Amino acid sequence: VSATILVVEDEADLLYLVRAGLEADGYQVLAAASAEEALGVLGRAKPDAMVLDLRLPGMDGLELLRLVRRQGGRLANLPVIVMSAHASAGTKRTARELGVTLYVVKPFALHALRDAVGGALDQTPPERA
Amino acid sequence: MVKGIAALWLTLAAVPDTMTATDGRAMPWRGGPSRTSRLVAFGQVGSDAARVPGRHLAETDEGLLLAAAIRDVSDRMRLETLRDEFIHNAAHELRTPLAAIAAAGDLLADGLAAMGEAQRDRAVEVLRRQCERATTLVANLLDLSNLEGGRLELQREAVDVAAALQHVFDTAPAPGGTTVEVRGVEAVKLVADGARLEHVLTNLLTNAYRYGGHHLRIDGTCQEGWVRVAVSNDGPGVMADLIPRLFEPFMRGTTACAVGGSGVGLALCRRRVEAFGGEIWYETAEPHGACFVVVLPETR
Repeated sequence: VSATILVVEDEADLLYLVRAGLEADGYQVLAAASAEEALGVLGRAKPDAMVLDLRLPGMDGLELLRLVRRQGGRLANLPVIVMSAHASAGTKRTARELGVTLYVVKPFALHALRDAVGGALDQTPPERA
Repeated sequence: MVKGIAALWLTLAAVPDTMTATDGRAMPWRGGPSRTSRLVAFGQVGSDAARVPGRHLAETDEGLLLAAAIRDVSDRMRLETLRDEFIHNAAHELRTPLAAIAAAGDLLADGLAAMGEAQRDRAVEVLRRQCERATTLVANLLDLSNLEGGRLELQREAVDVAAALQHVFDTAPAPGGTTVEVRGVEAVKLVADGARLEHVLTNLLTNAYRYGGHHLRIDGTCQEGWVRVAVSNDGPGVMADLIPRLFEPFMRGTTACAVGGSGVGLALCRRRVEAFGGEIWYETAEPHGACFVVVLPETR
């Protein structure tokens, strides 16, 4: 059974491209366009990792991550890869404190993100094994 | 820092007990040798000593003679800070279309053979749309610079509003869950610079996507040689204290930091619309929400 990745990104085009790239690697992809949607998905599904944009309408990505970590259980250790245009040291530090596995700054090479997901899951993507 | 004085110029023939600022405010000046040091300190507090244009001191029979010109540069410093933030935000804004362009290019390069036709078409469509988005951001920067320098060259042409809107929706489609209802724009033509009118409409629409609710409306009407296009949404509307400064450069609401925006969009909209001979303003939508109205000359 392939791993499931939740992608949280409000830019429809980028969401589509990241999804297409991860699906090409054999992952199941769940999508959310906002933090609120992501919480809904996390309530009913059990993704193996989350790819998270920080700038979202309504609740931002870091706030979502705080809520996710506070829920404890499997979510306390859910691998998270941040993809963000925010490149400040402060934001990166906060993300690190919240247990972010890898921080990818936009614009990024799609294969770098795909490799980061594979690395976060500590496994080779199924289709590239 | 001295606040509330747009520009302060003082020329003193002799040190008085009080000085009167250009806004009529009396500013106390205590007696004794400290008068001189207070002046220097005042210059440093408002800005720095180098920005105090002149200061001469002499002993005369009438007492200490002093000529000083003090300029309050608080507003200029505020603008410089805002401009720095704007450059930061503009660079940040460009990262989003660049990210999509880079990812689409990677996907096409890596998976061209394995991709289906629909997937390939979608990736190419993303490339085209995001290139246009980046181009619009760069055009905004150039227009801002040219407007401030008085160098903006505008085309005046008949623009079909429905066709312009269609192009805007192609470039900036509504996000999932948001509907846009368009009424009264069929066969409506106005006089403007077509590309810049599209920038104005794109700005109003993307603001509504970011800050508005889930239902947007665009209403076109013609009256007595003028075309009125109103872009409204059912969101929370603009906070009352922000409304008077809404069209000032670098203004952003408190939620803007979270959802992006460079802070010059509406200022550019106003300058562009006024350059076409029209007007733009904000109204509160009923029962709630924001409504931006653009009025431009009609053409037949």
